[in-house]
Amino acid sequence: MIATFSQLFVFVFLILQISPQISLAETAELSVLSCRICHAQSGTSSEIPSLALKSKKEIFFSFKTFLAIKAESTIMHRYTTGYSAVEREDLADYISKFGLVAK
Amino acid sequence: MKTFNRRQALALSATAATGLLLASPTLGANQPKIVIIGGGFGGISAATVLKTVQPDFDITIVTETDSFSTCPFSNLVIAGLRSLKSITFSYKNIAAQGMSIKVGKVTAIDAVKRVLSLADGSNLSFDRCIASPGIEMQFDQIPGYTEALQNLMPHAWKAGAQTLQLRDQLSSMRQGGTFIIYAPNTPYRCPVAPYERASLVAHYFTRHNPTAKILIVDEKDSFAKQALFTQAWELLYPGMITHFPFSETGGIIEVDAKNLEIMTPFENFKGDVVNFIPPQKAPKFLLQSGLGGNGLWCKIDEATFESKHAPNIHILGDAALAGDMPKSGFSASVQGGICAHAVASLMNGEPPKTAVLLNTCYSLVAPDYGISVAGAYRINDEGRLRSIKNTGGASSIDASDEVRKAEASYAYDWYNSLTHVMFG
Repeated sequence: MIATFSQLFVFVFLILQISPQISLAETAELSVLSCRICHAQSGTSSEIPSLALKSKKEIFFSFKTFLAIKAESTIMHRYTTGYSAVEREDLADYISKFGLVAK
Repeated sequence: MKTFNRRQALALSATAATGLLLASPTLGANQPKIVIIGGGFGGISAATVLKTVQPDFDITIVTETDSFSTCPFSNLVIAGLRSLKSITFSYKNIAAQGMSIKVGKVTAIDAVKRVLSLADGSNLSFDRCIASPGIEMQFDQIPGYTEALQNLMPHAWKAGAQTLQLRDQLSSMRQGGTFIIYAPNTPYRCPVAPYERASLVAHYFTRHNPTAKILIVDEKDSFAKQALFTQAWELLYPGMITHFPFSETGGIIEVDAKNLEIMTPFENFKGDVVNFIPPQKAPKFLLQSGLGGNGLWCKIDEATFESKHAPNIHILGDAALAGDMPKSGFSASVQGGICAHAVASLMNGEPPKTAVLLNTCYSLVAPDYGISVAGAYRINDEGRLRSIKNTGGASSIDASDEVRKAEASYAYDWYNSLTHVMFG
């Protein structure tokens, strides 16, 4: 059965009456769109450290290091505070599995 | 996860409902048609990400030129350190990914009929449009500065012919001459680029015209990374660069382009070469199509980049008011990717997602001396794209020479990585 626009709108409106707040998910798969800008070609010819083949543990540990030893990094310690611990873990997990491709 | 109040949720749901309706093309034989305006950082990033997540979408990119010269690193061209060719990229690899490239100038968008008009008389219909067309100069704002006279005092704020023109003017400037940079008030493209330009031209002058002077006539009192620039200028180019803030000049009142002179209430500045960076705005076709409201820039839903003035049209990059994010190539590229995902979600009848968005503006004060300012942004409870507190900021004023050198290397690597992501 195909709903008309008005039926759909009424449906959405009714849902909102029941649950007045909806969520906009913040996801690791979209956050990598920022990471890839510097890290997409990192590696042998680049001084920006490569994330290729890094495990979740290694990436998550790097975040912890950026938070603890600020002078060791020129950029990442300024970014890392922007993510919650859960977001850092999600990001590390995603990058270790899928690299920097936002699927 | 972010929560929204009732009003925001209603607005978002209306958008999602529209998306559900528009999802119908995916169910039929016709592929959803997405037209992307702009072949720069925002447009190409949106196109390539959208093609990755929705390979079945019919994507057309409309671009005014058949190649893209980047504003980032164009200051290296002006300073004789790189060729224009080295910062120019073709769309060959984009076309090879199955997207159409249409070289042409957009003159209008009809949001109701979902049709673009082009200067060659052709039209392009779309289900959704992503516009990332960059900026246009305001030639009618300052007495004496007109479009016809712009080549006398080139802005070189769109990489290309004027980049080379300014380079050539500087290389033929008389010994001991004066180079003036006029920097407009915000908002404008690449807020720190005038100061990087002064730095790299100073690097050129120290080798080829050591008694030359550089004056920055600024419409602002301060600028990002000012302490870092000032520190570097004193170290690398002592006495060569002088910054005149608004509070010292009272701001520009008139230009005499033929005599290369800038007039302010307190002082007139006459140069041998003048780089006049005028105030800017979103391109005329966006504003004349009603997408700027009563302003000069385009208001958007800062989560999906959908226009506040018309459904199905997403605007990003320099032309948009994207919350706290600066108008930079890095910002536009990140926004392009996020917008592509939002368009895919809306076309598929799914709620859009969001993320932490980053931006770094690197500046080369010399080829081996880099500084940066970084920011991180996320959608807040009011649906605004705001800076995350206690995050980002500029390079340390106390950083060692090694860190300055490392930041210069990172700047080159950032550029190579970003252009690789976009153009392959």
